[in-house]
Amino acid sequence: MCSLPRRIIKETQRLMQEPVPGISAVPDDNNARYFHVIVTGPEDSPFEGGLFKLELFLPEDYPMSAPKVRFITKIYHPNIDRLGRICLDILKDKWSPALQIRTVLLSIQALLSAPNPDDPLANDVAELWKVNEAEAIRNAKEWTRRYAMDN
Amino acid sequence: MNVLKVLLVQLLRLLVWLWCRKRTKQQSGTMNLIGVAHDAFNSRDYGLATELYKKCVSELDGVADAAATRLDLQFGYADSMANSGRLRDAVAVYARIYKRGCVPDRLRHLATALIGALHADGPPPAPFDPLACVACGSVPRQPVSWNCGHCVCLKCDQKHSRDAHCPRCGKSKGRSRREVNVLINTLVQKFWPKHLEAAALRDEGNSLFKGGCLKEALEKYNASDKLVKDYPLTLANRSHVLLSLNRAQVALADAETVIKIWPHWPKGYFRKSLALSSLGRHDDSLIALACCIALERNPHPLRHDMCLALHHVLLPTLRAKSANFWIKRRKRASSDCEDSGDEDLHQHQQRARARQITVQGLMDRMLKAAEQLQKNTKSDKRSIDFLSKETTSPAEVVDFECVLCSRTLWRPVTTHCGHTYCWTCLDRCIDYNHPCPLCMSPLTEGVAGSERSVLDFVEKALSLLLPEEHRQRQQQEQEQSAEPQRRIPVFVCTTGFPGTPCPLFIYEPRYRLMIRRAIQNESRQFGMAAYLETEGRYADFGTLLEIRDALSFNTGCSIVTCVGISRFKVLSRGEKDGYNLAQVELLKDEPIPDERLEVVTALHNEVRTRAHTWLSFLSEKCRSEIEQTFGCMPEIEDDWFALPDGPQWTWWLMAILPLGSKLKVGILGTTSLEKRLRAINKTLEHLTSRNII
Repeated sequence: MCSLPRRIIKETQRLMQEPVPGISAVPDDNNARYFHVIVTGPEDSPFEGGLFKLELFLPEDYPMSAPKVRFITKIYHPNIDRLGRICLDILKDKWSPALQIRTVLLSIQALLSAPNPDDPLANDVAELWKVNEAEAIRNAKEWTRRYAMDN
Repeated sequence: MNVLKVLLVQLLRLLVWLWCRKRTKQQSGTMNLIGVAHDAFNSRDYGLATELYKKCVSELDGVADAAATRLDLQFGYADSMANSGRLRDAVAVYARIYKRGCVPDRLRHLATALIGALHADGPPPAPFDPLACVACGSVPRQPVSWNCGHCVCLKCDQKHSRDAHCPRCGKSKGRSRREVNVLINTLVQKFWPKHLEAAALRDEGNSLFKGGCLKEALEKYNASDKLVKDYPLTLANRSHVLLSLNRAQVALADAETVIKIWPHWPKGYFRKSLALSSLGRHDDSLIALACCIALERNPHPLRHDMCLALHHVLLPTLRAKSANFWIKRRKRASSDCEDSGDEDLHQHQQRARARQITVQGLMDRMLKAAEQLQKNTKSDKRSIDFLSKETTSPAEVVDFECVLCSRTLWRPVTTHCGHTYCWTCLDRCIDYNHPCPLCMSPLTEGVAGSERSVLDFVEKALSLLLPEEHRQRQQQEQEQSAEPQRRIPVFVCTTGFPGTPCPLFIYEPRYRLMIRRAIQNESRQFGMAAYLETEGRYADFGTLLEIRDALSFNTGCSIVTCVGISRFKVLSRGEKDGYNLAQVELLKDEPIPDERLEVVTALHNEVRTRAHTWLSFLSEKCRSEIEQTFGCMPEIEDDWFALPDGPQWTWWLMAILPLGSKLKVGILGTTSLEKRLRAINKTLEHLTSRNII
């Protein structure tokens, strides 16, 4: 194992010292590149009140490659699939090495506020979101209550 | 008697005719000589021209109606001497010409020769403020950086857009459209807000001056001077405007302050020269102008000023007038101030007497002053980093942090879009085909190739403002590169063999980085190991390769020619920036016991023969392709049995034999030559028997 790059050390320190509101990211005790993340559901979204667990991993060539992020908590969202994989451009082709863990998590939080059914990852969810948004939101609230609360 | 008279008259006529003829002949001879002298002058044979003109002048002396021609000739004589470097003699002749009355201002040859003499060794390299704009010497405003790594104000860049090369280092500036350098701009705004404001006021003063509003311009310069006291750029301009307002004495004071602060800056002497000239002190003015020329990079535009200064010095009436002017002025001053009046007058009379030195003496003084100044500038070890001493807020490490690696910038470079990263961080972005990380605009070839240079401003600012941090960072890099390579980088691709060429096409971002680091590293080595699917990882045995040649493409890909150096066994594995690292043990063949040597030799010969047989089965085309890539089959070494990797030809053969990865790795890791030969023998047997080629 190589010594941790200064970039990761500094980002971790800052995440600890100045946490982003509504987001907590703690490195794993055994692997400093692996973060346990909790994102609170944004206000005025179907995910409000939920605590969503995510895992975030910084690959060896971070920040040249984007961090790998996945929802662990089940979530009803058109851009997040059953396995928790996230469809977000900055995690893929729009990644820039100037982005950071905190900016990535902020973008994910924003994605919860503004689902984008036109660029779906979970097709069934996206379909319902487009056809019957009210029902989709009801489902999302239900899933949030069931999977992302009290536990 | 009459006959005698007639004869006498005829004789007289003949004499007169003869005399006239001789005279005309002489004249036309001189005229011819003048022509030759002109020719010699025009063909730049000034030595000959001097001689010829001298002769012409002396011959024409007796001719009454040749005043105009004589003047021309004397100028020709003086010009020739000036051009052939006899400045003192030339000046004496010019002085003589000027004594005879007013003549046209024809001193360009003398001026050119003087400039040449003052500039004989070129101007000394002038000390400069490392944090200032390389064009105007001011704090860089809206700084843009050139490919050479130097930075200038945006305005200066536009003003000098015609020059393709940097005035400081002479290297190419790169493309013409540039964005403001974001980092330098931020630093300048943080460290020198007052200087920026003062510079803006100076700019306003300059435009007012250009528009003819002298008083308003003066006010702006005064305001600028109030913000940043005694800044030479402001004072030089204020001196100019003051002179235009006929306040020569104050203009002189400003010019002298400029010289005191920046003794290496030619413009200070130029302003001083003009002020002195305006005060009628033409001798001193000439000396100041000479000092300016001695320091100026391109002094030729100053020829006209030199002509004027010389003209004033040579013109006797003007000199007298100026002396009178001084006496009157001093007298007036002394009546105002009784105490010092007499003394002043006395002093001035002394000065007036001292003025009566010859013009030649003045020349000597002038050349000496210029030479002394050049010498002083050369030996002036004082640094002139004013800006670094006048920062208004303290520098912090975070000001100089690279956004990509979060460390203090190391060998910073700026992209065309104006963003700055460490050299190696930018390289990595290019490896990954990323656009600029901060603004997402494409990273063009300009920053990828050799056109890139370290950003001088940031490097210097760091060393001046945060010397300790800069030293530490330098030390870190040195330690990092000096650190013994305990672990080697491993390129997971194929199996290489000792002594055998291994051409590689590098396109994967992580391997671009790996190869670049290997090339920068003096060893130029890296490990090569095959990926074994059955094991899900790279093989335990590999070959250390040495880079012989690398050819890079614009796309960032490269073709690397390598040769196997030694076999290794992987002891432990690691990872770095996306590529593999391994701690390895180099492998050597076990020595062949004496009793086995005979058997091994027989086997060796058998395999070699079999190999030849197999090769003969191959098509002509196939053989030539093999030769192109791997060369011919190596000859047998005399001590093949004692070599650490055994005979070279066996590895050459291994490289071309159609074997599976696992088998190749197995043979590579075998340290018994006998076992290896048996394995190869078996393979060849198999191939030839089945006719597999």
